[in-house]
Amino acid sequence: MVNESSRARRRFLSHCRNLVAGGAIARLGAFSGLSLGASSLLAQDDRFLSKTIPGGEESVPSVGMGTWITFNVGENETLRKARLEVLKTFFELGGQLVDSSPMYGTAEAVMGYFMEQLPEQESSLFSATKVWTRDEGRPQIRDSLDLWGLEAFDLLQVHNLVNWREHLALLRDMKEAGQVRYIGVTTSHGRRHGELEEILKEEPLDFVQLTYNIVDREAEDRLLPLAQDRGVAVIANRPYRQKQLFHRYQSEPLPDWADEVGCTTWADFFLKFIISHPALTCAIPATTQVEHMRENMAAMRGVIPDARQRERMAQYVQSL
Amino acid sequence: MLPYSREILFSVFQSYQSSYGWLIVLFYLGLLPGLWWLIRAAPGPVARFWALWVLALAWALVGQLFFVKTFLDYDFLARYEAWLFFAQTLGLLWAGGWGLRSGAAFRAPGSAWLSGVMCCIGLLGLPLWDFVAQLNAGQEWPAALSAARWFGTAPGPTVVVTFALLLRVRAHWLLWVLPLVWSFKAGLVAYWLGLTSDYSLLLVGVVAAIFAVINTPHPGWIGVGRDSGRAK
Repeated sequence: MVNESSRARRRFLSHCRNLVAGGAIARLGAFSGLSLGASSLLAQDDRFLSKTIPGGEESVPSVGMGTWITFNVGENETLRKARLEVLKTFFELGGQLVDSSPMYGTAEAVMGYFMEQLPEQESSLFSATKVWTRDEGRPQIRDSLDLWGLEAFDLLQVHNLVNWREHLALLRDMKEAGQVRYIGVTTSHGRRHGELEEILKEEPLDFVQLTYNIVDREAEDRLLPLAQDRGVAVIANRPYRQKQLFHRYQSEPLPDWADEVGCTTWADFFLKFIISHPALTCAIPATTQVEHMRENMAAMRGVIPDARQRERMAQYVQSL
Repeated sequence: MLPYSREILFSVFQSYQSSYGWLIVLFYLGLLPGLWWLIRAAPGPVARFWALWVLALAWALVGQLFFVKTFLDYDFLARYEAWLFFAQTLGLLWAGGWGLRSGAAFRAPGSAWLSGVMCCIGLLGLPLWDFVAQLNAGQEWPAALSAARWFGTAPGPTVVVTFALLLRVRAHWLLWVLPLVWSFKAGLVAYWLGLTSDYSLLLVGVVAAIFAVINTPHPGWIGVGRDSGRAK
């Protein structure tokens, strides 16, 4: 069962953040579900873009964190120390949603170890993992809970639609029993979008996770509008195409008008493009470096591009 | 595409070799000179048998100790990769036993130079490359030495030495399949992880395969000639 006192505390803190930041919503444009949060310091001048999870009042910061590759460091002390600093920075700058999977090697165990080191951040963490097995999902979910050291996950997703009919039924049962708060499905690399569309139409979901970034925009045609219509939160994975966008564009200059869209780095440019989409709830970049984490988290602060500016950003990247 | 980075890969080798991998490396470093002497002195079925069985042991150790016991925590594909190594182990054991019964021995010395070069690459070249790369990455020398991949503990050098041996023995072409699969996989990993050293595995595999085909007097059985497989 979800620990209700912990949940209540978390909801209270989340509510506080939104209250502190409430005055600036209008500045962000007409997107539904937008709100401004603040970092764990609750500083007035440190507001950032949060998005409301459809169907409720809870919001999450629009930049989360992925753990693919980066947190698969096993018991190597040096690498663990370095990643712990990354996670600390993430929380300090207001981050909440951390996404992992049993498929990511030791990432879940490492995440559990880190949460033992950062007990004060338990109330900030929005834990998201996946079920990824062709067998019955419950034992794997129990293992994941043990590894993370949690009593319940905030979000459980069916990884890459593996055995999704059985797993979704299980996740629905768990949600009804109060063992998980949100459920969803994931895809990546733009695969199986047709099947994902059918699931979105037919199944009651809270979240869907898919690949969306400034060059992979296929989801804009049908999936994102459908998710919006159905009241489903969207997590964008591969926001940098696993570094490919930096390799391709970092040597190019940002456009002269980058400051108009609040961008001072390419990380800003790529992430602001994603999180400014009205259907998008959260992007989950992964990183091994504190400095990159700072850049990632900076993207949800300051000016957020509107629809016209987003199109201009995409066209600029296309022109390079 | 892979759930680990180059940094993580070498940290895994470092901890694996620091625990018990060194015992295996030292075991082989002690054993291989004796095997080399045996092959040089009496390149008959017995030497061939021992060479293949020692190699089979290396494939089994990599499959069990590296893939199953160590790397499976980091990469779910390790389970399947272990099976490839176990399958090759069985193949090599079978080939060794078959050779004893049929009297097969080592091939004519035409491929000896290439086999020798490949042995040097697998036993010394690749570990040295890793060692230098780790030093350049800022590791102290003991840690860099532990992070290097060695024959008998790591798949790459083991596969390269396998090519070296396959060039010198008469064996069924099926024994070439898994080493070749691995060398192509190594090429992909080299690309994904930016691991320049591992392109050499692809190169060694392609060169060995071409050389073996050119020198095969009888299609189907690489190196099995009309002389019933006896050494010339």
